[in-house]
Amino acid sequence: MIEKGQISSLQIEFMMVPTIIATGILSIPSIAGKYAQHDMWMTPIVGSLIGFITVYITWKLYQLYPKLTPIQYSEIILGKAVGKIFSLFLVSFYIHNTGLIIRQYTDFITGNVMFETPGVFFSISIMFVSALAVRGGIEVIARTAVICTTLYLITSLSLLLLIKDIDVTYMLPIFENGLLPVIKGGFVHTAWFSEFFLLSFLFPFVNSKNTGLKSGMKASLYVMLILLYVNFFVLTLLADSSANQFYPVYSIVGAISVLGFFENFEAIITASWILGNYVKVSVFLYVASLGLAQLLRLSDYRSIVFPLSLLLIFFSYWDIPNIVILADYMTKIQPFYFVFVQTILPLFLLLIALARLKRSESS
Amino acid sequence: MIRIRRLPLKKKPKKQKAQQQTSSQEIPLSKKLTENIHLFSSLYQDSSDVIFRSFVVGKIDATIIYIEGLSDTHKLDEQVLDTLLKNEFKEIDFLISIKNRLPISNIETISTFSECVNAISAGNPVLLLDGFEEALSLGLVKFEKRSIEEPQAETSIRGPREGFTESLGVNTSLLRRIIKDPALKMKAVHVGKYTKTKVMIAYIEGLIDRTLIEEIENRLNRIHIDGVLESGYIEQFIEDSPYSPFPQLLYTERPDVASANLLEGRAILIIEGTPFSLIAPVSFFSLFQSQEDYYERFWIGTFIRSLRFLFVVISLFLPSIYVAITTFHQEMVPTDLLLSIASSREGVPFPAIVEAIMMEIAFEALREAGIRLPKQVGSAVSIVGALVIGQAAVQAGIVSAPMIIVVSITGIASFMAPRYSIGLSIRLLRFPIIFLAGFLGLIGVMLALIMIIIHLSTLRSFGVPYLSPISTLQKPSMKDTLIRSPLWKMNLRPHLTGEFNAVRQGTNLKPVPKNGDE
Amino acid sequence: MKKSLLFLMCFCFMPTLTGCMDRVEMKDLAIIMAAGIDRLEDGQIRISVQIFIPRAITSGETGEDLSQGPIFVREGIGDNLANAVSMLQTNVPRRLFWGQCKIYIFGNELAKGGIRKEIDYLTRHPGPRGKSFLYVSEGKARGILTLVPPLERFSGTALRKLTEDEYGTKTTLKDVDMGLMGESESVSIPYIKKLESKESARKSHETIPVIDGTAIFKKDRMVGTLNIKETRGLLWLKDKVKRSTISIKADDADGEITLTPTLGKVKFIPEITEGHWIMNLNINIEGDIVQNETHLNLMNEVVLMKVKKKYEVALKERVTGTVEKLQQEYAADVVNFARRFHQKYPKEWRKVEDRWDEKFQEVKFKINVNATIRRPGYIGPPAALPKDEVIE
Repeated sequence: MIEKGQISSLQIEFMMVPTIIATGILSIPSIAGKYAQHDMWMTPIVGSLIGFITVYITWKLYQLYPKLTPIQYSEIILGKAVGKIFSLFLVSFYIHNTGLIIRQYTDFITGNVMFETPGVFFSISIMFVSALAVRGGIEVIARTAVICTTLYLITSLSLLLLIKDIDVTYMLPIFENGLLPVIKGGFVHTAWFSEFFLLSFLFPFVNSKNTGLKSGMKASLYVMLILLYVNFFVLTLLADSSANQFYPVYSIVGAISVLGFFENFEAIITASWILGNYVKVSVFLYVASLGLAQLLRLSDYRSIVFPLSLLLIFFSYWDIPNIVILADYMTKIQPFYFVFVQTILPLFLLLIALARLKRSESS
Repeated sequence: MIRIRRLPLKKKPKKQKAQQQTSSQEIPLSKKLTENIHLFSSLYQDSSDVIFRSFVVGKIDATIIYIEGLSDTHKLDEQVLDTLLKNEFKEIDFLISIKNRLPISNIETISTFSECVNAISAGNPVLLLDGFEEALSLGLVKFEKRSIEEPQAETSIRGPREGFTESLGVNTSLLRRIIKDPALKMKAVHVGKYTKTKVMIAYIEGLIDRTLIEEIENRLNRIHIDGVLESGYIEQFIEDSPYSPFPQLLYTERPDVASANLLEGRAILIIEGTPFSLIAPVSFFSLFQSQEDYYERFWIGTFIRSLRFLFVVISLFLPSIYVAITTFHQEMVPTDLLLSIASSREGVPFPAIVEAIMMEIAFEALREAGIRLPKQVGSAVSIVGALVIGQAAVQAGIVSAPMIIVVSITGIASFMAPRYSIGLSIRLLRFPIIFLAGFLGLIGVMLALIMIIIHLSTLRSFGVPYLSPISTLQKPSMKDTLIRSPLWKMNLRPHLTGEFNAVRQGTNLKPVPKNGDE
Repeated sequence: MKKSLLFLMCFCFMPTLTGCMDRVEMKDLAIIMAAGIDRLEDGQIRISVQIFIPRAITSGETGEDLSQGPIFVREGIGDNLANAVSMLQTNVPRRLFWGQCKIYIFGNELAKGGIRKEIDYLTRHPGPRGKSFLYVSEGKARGILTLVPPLERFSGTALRKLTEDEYGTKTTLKDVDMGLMGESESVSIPYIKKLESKESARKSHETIPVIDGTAIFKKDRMVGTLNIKETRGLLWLKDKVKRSTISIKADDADGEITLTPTLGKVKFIPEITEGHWIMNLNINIEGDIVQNETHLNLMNEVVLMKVKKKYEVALKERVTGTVEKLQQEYAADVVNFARRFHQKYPKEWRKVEDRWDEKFQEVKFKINVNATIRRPGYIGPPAALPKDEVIE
C-alpha cells in the first residue's frame, strides 16, 4: 500500500467539513438566493440529501472492498480496461476540480482583499503549502485539519455578533412560489455535497472499520447545519439583494461591529477562511495525487505531488477567463457534472459490484 | 500507537571504537605488579595529579592509584592504609580477606585495565596487588560539588525548592527520594570518547513502553563524539527532526517535574555534569505546562495556561500582524486608531517592515546583551536600550511609537512561555513571518501559520506525534493541554506515553463533604 | 544545504518584490474621511473629499491653526462618478484610501436627478463599505465638507456621531441598495444642512452640519423632504425613538407637559378585507416626563391617566401626519409597508406588485397607540411651586 498512515474517524469529520464548505460558503448563498429568494435558507436541507446518499454509496463500496480506493476497485468491478478508463476519468476529474478550487480561492482574494497583487502568487502559495502537507501523508493532513478546522469554525461564530441587526421577517412568506424554487436552490448545493465521494479515498485509512459511515453522515449533517446557519444570516441581513452579490457572506461580515470600535472583520474572516480552504485544497490534492499514483502504479505518491501541483496551477487558469464564467459554470454545469461523476457513477459501480457478487454466490 | 522511526545505526564509528578498545583498554591485568604499574604510569604520563602510592601488605607489594581531589584521602589514610599496614592477612584467599577486612561499603573486584581507568577517573582509588590478576576499586569518591539549591531556570512560588545539581549521584538520589518504589529503574550509558559522561535513563517499569527505552539506548549508543558537556549535546544527537526549530525534548532541573513525567510514563535522561535532565518523549503542549499549574487550583492553572497560549500567539504574530495591517489592510484598524498611527508614522523614513525587523533585532540584541553580560553591566545595557530606543528614536522620528509598543508587547509575551526553549523557537520564527506579512499581508501571516501547523504535525518526539493529543483527538488526554482539569478528573495517564498502564488513579476521587456534618 | 540556502535567499528577496503590489505604506495614503457628490450645472459630477493630514495631529507640535482642522478638501470633476474619482486621484499626491470613509453626502441637485449610478459605483467599488452612512445635503455637498466643527476633528465625525445617536434616520449604503431593490422601491436618507453659528468669535465655517429632516427617495430620485417633526414620526415607525421630546397640552391647566419617548415597539399588521388594503399600526411606546409646566401633580393616578391619553393622541397625530405626507404627497413607501403585505398576502401582492405606488395611496392606515408613562422623573408634584397652588 502506498499510504501507511492511519487516521481516526473523528479526524475524517474535521477533514470533510471544510472540504465541502470552504468554497461552498462563498457562492452557495448567492446562487441559492437567485433561485429560492427568501426561501433560500432551507435549501441546504434539500441539497444535503445528495450528501447522505453519496456517503452511503461510498460506504457500501468501502464495505465490499475495504483497504481499496476507487482507482483500485473500479478495475476489479469493471474489468481491467474499462476500470482503467474510469479511473483515468475520475483522476482527471479531481485534477480539474482542484484547479477550479484554486481558481475560486485566487479570485476571491484578488477580488476582495488584495486587488493589485497578481493572483498567481496566491495560487502558488496555497498550492505550495498544501503540497507540503500532502507530502507529509494523510496523517499530517488529518492533524492539521483538526487545528485549522477548529480555528476556521470558531471565527464563523463571529456572525453571531450580527444577531441584533437581523430581521427575521425577511424569511417571510415561506414557500411563496411553492417548493420548486427551494428544490432548484437545493440542487445548487448538490455539487458540493456530492464531493463526499472523496471519502472513498479516505475510508481505507481509517483505523476502525465500523465508524466510517457514522462520521461521514455526521460530517454531511454538520455541513448542512453550517450552511443553514450562514444562509440564515445572509438572508435576514441582505434579504433578496444577496443574490446580487458574488460573495454575500463577505459583505455581511463587513457589518460586524463590536462596541463600535472593532469593525471591518473582513480581513480576519478571510484569513481564517484561508485555513479552511487550505484543508480543502490539501484533501483534493491528496486524492488527486494518490489516485494518479495508483493509476500509474507508482510505488510512492509523494514524488508526483509537486509536479502535479504545477499542473493544477495551469488548470486553474485554463478555460476560465473571469468570475462571471466561473459563476455560470457553478450554477449550470457543476451540479449536473459533479453529481454525475461523484454520485451516479459510484452508484453504478456499486450496482455492478453487487450484481457480480450475487452471480458469484449463486454459481 | 507509538511508531518510532529508528535512526539508522552508523557502522563506521563502531568499528573504530572496537579497534581502539582492543588496542589498549581491554587487556586484562597482569599478575606482576611492576608490569601493571608500568602500564599505568605510561597511561598517566605527564599527569601529575595521578598519585601512585606503593607499600607492602604482609609480604606482598601493593600500589594504590588515585587522582588527587577526586578521592577522599582522609578516609584512604585512616580506613585503607591503616587497616592494610597494621593487620595480618591470610595467604590463602588473600584478596578476599582484604576485601572483607576493609571498612569500606563499596568495594569492587575488577580485572581489566579499562575498568581500572574508569574507576580511577570516577574517583575510586584502585588497589593493585602483586601476584593477582584482579584489583580492588575502593569506593572513596569525594570531590567538590555544589550543594542542592533552588533551581535558577525554573523558579516557582509554590513547590519544592530543591533542584538538580551537576552531580549525577545527587540527582538520582533526589529522584529516588521522591519515587520510592523499586520500579524506578536507572540504566547507565556512557557517552563521549574523552569525557565518558555517564547518562542515566530513568523510567518506571510497568509504565513505560519497553521499545521506547530500547530506542533511547540505541540512539545514545549511536553517539560517538569527543565529549558531552551539557544535556544539549545529547538532545541534538537523539532528536527525531534535527532541522526543526522546535525542541523535541524537554529539559528540567526540577526533581518534581522529572518525577511527574516519570509517573506519566516518560523517560528521564540524567546527565552527569549538568543540572539539566532531559525528558522524552514530549508533545508541543507540554512545553506550555508548568509545575505550578498542578500545584495551584485548577481554575488558576487553566487561566494561566490559556494566558500563556494567548501570549505565545501574540509574541509569534503581533509584529507581523502590525506590519500586515499597516501596509495592506488599513481599513481594518478603527478610524481613530488609524489616524493616530498614521500621524505617528508620518515622519518615519523606513517602510513598516524594515522598521519592524530593525526594532525586533534591536530588541533581541538588547536581551542577549543583558543575559551574557555581568549583572552590573547588564543593567546599564537595559538603561541605554530603554533610553536610546524607547525615547530618543521616537523623538527623533526614526521609529514610530506604535512600533515600540508592538515590540515591547512582543518582548513581554515571549517571556510568558514557561520553557525557555520554546521561547527561543518563537523568537526565531518571528522573523520569517514578518517577511511573509510584508509580502502578502494577512494572507502571508496565515500561510505562515499553516506552514507552522504542518511542520508541527509532521514532527514526532520518539514516535509520539508532536501535536498529540489535540490533533490526534485523544479526548481523555485533552484534559491537560489547553486547559488543566481538576486532578481528580485526570484518571488516565496521557495517551501514547502512559497507555501501557492507563489508569492513573481511582475513580470518584472528587472530594465530597459528608452529608450531615455541619 | 545548498537547497536551504537558495530558499533563504528567495525569502530575503521577497520584500523587494512587493513594491508594485498591494503594499502601501501609511505615509503614502490619503485617508478620506468623508466624501460629497454633487451634480454641477453643466451636468458633470463633482466629488469632493475630506482628506486627513497626519502631520496636523502629531503630538507636541505647536502653532497649529485650529480653525483649519487636520483636514483639507479636494475635488475631482468628470462626466460620471468614476471619472470624477480618477480625476480626483490626479489632484492628490498620495493614493486615495476609501477604507475609512463612512460618510457620503449627495448634493440636493444630484439627489433630485437620481442617485442610482452613484450608488452602483459605491457598491461595486471595493473601497466604500456597506456600512457607510449616506446623506442628502441642502445645497451643494461640498459646502458641508468644508465646515470645521469646534468639537470634533472633522465635520464627518460630527455627522456620524449625530447619526449614530439616531437623531435622524440612519441610512447606510446597504439600506439604500436593499431598499431600492425591495418591494417598495423607496428609501429615506437623512437630510442635512449647515448649522448657522451664532457665536461672533467664530468664523462662519466653524460649525457643524446637522440633520434637518429626511429626504424621501422614490425609485432613485428625491421627491421631497420631511421636516424634523415628521421625521420623528418616521423614526417611531422604524422602531427608533431616542432623545426626542413630545409636548402635550393638558385640558384643565396652563402650560404643557413634555415627555421623552423611550422604548418603542411598532407592530405592523396588514389586512386585506374585501379588496380594502388596511395597515394596522400598533405602536407601543413608553415615555418619561421631563418637564411639567402645569400645576398638575403628576403623582396623582388620575392625572397621570389623563396625561397618558393625551400623550397617545399626540403620538398618533405625529405618526398620522408622517404617514399621510408619505402616502398622499410623495406616494413613497419608505417604511416598506409593501414588504408586510407581501409577507402576509403573497398572492394579492403579486397582483399589485407593478403598481404599488398607486396602491399605496389607497391603503388605509389604522394607527393605534398604546403609551405607558414609565416614571414622572425625579419629582412628582411640580417643582418650585407652593403647595396650595398644586392642582391635585
